[in-house]
Amino acid sequence: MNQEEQRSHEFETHYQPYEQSQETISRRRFLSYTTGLLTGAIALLLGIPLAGVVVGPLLKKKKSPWVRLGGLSDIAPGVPAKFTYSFRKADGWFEKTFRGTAYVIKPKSGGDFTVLSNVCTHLGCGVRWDSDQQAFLCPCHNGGFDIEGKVTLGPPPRPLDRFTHKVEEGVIFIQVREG
Amino acid sequence: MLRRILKWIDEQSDLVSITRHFLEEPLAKGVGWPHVFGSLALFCFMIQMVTGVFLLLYYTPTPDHAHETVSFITHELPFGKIVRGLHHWGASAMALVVGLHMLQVFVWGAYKKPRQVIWLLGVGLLLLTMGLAFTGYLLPWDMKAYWAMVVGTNIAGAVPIIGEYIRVLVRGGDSVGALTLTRFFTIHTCILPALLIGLSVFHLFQVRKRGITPPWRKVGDEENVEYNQRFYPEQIFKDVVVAMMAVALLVFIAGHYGAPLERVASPSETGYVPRPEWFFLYQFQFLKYFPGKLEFLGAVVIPGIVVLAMLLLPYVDTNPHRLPRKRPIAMFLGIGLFVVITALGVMGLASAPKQRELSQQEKVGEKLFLDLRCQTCHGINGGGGSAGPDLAGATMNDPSKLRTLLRNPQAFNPRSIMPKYELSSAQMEGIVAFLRSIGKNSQMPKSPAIGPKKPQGHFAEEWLTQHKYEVRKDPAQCSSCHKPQFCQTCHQNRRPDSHQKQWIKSHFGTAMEKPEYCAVCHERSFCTACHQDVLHTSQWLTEHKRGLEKRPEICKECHQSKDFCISCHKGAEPASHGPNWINTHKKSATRSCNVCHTQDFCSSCHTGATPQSHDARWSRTHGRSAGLGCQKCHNDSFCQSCHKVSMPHPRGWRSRLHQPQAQRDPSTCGTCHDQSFCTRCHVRSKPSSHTSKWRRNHKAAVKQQGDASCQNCHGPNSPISCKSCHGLDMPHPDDFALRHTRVASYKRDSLCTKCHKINEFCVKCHEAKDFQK
Repeated sequence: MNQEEQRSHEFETHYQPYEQSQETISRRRFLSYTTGLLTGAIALLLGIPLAGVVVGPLLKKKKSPWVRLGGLSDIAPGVPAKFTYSFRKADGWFEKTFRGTAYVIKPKSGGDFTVLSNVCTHLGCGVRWDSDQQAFLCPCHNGGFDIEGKVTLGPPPRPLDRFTHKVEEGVIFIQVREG
Repeated sequence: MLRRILKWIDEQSDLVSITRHFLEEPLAKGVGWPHVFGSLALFCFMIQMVTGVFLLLYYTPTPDHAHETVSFITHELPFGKIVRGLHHWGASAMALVVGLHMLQVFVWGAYKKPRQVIWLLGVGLLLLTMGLAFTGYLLPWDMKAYWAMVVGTNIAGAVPIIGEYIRVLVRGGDSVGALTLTRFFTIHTCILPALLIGLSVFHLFQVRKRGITPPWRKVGDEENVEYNQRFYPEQIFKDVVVAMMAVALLVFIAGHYGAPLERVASPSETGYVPRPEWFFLYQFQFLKYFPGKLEFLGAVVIPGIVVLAMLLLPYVDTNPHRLPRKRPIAMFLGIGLFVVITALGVMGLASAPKQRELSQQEKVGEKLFLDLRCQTCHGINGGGGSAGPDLAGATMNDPSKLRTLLRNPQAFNPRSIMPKYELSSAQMEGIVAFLRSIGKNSQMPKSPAIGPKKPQGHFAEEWLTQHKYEVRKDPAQCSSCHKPQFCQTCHQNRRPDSHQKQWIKSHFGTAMEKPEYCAVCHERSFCTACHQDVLHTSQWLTEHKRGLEKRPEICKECHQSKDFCISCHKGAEPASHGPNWINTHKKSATRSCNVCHTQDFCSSCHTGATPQSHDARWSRTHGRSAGLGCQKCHNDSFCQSCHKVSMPHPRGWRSRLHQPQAQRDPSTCGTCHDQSFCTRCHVRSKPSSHTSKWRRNHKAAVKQQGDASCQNCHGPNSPISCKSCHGLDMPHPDDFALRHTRVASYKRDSLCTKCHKINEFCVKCHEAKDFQK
């Protein structure tokens, strides 16, 4: 008889009488339930921070910072003025500089500025102002937008996006969205 | 439902049966709480595995990003501090629990036959645990990690003959660097965990096969042992209780204290005092007793002997008894080793140089040091900035010099970029006391994180000299964190390299094309201070005449060449130059002609045809107008040709500069000034030459230099003419020697004797008896 068999034999000899008593059964059940509870508590204590580490970055609030575009002094009425902007954005532990282009249109008749994104709403190419055709033209799929950003030509499904903007001390700022 | 699922799984794989068989292992009477350490060690390892995997989601094993990612996990990632803390403190817990488990097995004699292999596997697991601990704490790439690796790999190099190869192999090169980090990362996350899992499974298998040792039974006497409990639930309950306590403690420590993270590794920082983690402190202390060539003994030989002894223990110790009192030698050696290791560890901990407690005044200074952010430029024993000298090595300790340095750093070095500080006396005394308290064991005080996180690039050693390139690449990068005053803090005393001498003329190109460059360092008001009224908008071409009228001198800052104006105005006169301009221009002549016209332009008309203002009396009256517009037409040499000195008089002329010129050539003053002009001052205050003995000695000066200099001030019309003192016109006329008899006979005593002694001067011509009455 090897050791294991010997132990089982010894166990059979000495333990079984315990197994049959109600006291033993209730004690074992108590220990089982308590073990289960404690194991659940351990799983929670560990599981919550671990889940949080994975899910946390996804739940981070996206900021909408104000980004400087440029001075207003050089904008002629009725002609879209092209501005490039850049802003720093956190990418995990990185901070990267993101750049973009916006068009500022000062109406000939006066009134508030319009700031349009240069990203075509079709598939994301960069539109450019064509002064001959007086339209924003997309070189990718021949999409076209008028000076107010409305679709006039081609496949774009909706007008050019507009930036929320403000003017402070002669400088125009736009609000960009992270993400 | 659950039973049916389990039954199906068991039918397919026997998994449930195997598990049940494992859990229902009978355990001997007496097996209980002392036997929880094995399961606890396994549980700690599982915590390390799980938390390690989750940390891998964000950690990057490169020197550029390792510290940054660990800092991100610790400070920015939600729950990151807890997960990293669990991993850090879990490692310490695992090392401790593995040691306790081995100690329990030793004391219980459970290593003896037939369980020798279990003990051998346990020693292997101990070594793997220490290996995991050693490779793990390099990964944050902070100062502690870096220097621990330098020292640790140098210890590996202490092995004779092959030590150098081992060191290079472990480091991945000659020095601790990127390759060291990646090697240790691979060893820590892949190789050692795989080995440990394999060894643990084998270890558990052997434990299950042989069974847990019945307490205190002699070797070979395991029959008739009472087995009155099962592994599940009796022993597992105890294991889970202890595991629960361990997890609760670890979560508390991780949440409350977090895991430490020192500053990013810097190989050039030699002032850092490295200390290993607590589980290597005994080795650190032990090596102190084996200096120089003996290091190999302490690092490799003796620890190797100890490990060998542990491996051979089950085979060498043939005493069949397991009771401690019946194993005195084994107990003495085992407990003795435990005590020695603990004592060495405590001694190692106590040997760390302690920082002196700061006095109240020094604490005030320390706080001010951090508030003023002095650590940005200055380090203390390496920690901190490198723009300025390290304060621990500072030679200046004199309080008065320190105060002067803080108030005016440029007094010691004109090119210093250190800003000046206006501090109250209490603040000054505090910071001086703190600076004087810094010694070779001092460390940089911990400063709270303020504002946005510092980018990793700012920690590079050459950042101070190289940041200008980053500014040029992307000025928005600086502006996103720093306001212009920040740049001025240093650059007010030292202009950037780009702002050369001619910058005032050449900056307009940059300002037009890339105004964001200027905005990094300058507020808008800085530009408008110059450009106010002269902002070259698109209407400037028609508007600039108004700006010219307001501030004509500002145009010359950029447009120094007259050709610039003439290029437009040649043939196209400004609006101000109307038909009658040639007659009316004199009113504006002193103000703005030179903006466009050189002197030659004016001289082309005015040579031979003086302006109307230059009438007959002009040479006498122009002094009142001089300085207001002479330079428009005349250069300095023109004025000097008459005045013989620079005109108008330079600053300091009245107080100190005119005296030498007046003494050299008094007629120079007479070109413009009459005597009353000089005496207006000199009645009240004499020239410097007129000392207290002047009255007696001026005769020699007059004889030497002539009386011309006297006549400038003391001429016949002056209130203090020579006659007013001498009673006669001075100097004597040429024929006075022949005509003085009449004066001398009546006024000898009142006049002649003022200057001449009778018995010395008069007797040269006269008989002495002539003067006797």
